[in-house]
Amino acid sequence: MMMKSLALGGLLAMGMATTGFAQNMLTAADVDAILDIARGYGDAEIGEQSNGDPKISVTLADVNGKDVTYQVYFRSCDDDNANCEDIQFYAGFLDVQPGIERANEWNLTKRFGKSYIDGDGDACIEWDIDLVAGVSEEYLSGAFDLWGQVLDQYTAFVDF
Amino acid sequence: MIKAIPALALTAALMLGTATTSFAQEDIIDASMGKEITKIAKGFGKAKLEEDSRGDPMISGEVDKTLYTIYFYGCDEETHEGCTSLSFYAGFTWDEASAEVANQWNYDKRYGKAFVADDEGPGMKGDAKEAYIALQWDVDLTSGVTRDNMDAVIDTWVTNLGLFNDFLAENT
Repeated sequence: MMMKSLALGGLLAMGMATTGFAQNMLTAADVDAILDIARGYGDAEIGEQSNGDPKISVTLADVNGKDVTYQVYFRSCDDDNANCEDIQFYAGFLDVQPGIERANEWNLTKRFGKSYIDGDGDACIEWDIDLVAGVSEEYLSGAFDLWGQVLDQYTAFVDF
Repeated sequence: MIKAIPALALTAALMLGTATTSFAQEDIIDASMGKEITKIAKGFGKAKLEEDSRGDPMISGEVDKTLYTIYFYGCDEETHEGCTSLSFYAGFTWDEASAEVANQWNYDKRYGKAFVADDEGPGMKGDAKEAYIALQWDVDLTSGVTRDNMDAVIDTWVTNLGLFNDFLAENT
């Protein structure tokens, strides 16, 4: 981070134009920045997973006529529940039980999001993003947008 | 490499005294860059840039004797350039293939999703009548990622491919 700041300072001092891609790299350690992005897409709150690692709960209004809440789990965090390496989008649908064959149908025919039936027989969808090497804010924003589209399709697919 | 990017841009700016846009973006990889992605894939095993049936780029790779394919999506219909996303895919002929066992993978593991089908799947070679299970992982690259990130993406895929092989062996 120090190198980045130094280089950015140098460029700004010289009045150089730059696209700024390298300067705004985000990893899953940047929980607050990711929370800010999430808030651009829905009602987002920070919370803790059972192991103490961070999570963000996001509620999207009117997804096929209903509110849908999903979680962004921060994964591969250190012993202090910080410096996480990647994130996982997750949505589980209580008492929505389309069956294993239908979940397989999603995975066969759709590209984004991994569908499965959990131990209670409920439909779940997950999408993992590796952020360990850092991505741009634009990239991560695009991921939230894409996940919203996945939920829009998935809720219709499982008749939520 | 992340640390090297600003240093490179700074050097370039000092040398040329011009806008650094092109230098800042030089190390950004998106799905339009088949050759670059093939080069990165070669860091993990065999990889060859080919064309799919539509004429879009396609990478045939092999790591630890497991064949896989990287499909390019969102490409221009005429030029087959400017692709915006990738789909990593590996299909396995496997007698034990069932929606139940695919679901078990999807419940337990991260990244790639497993699925089964009755007929021949994309990239599946061999007898279409045989049961098979596939692992697929899609990555959106519309806004591009750094070379380091692309390397990490392929590393994640290769790691998961190894875990999937283990999973199939455990369930056989």
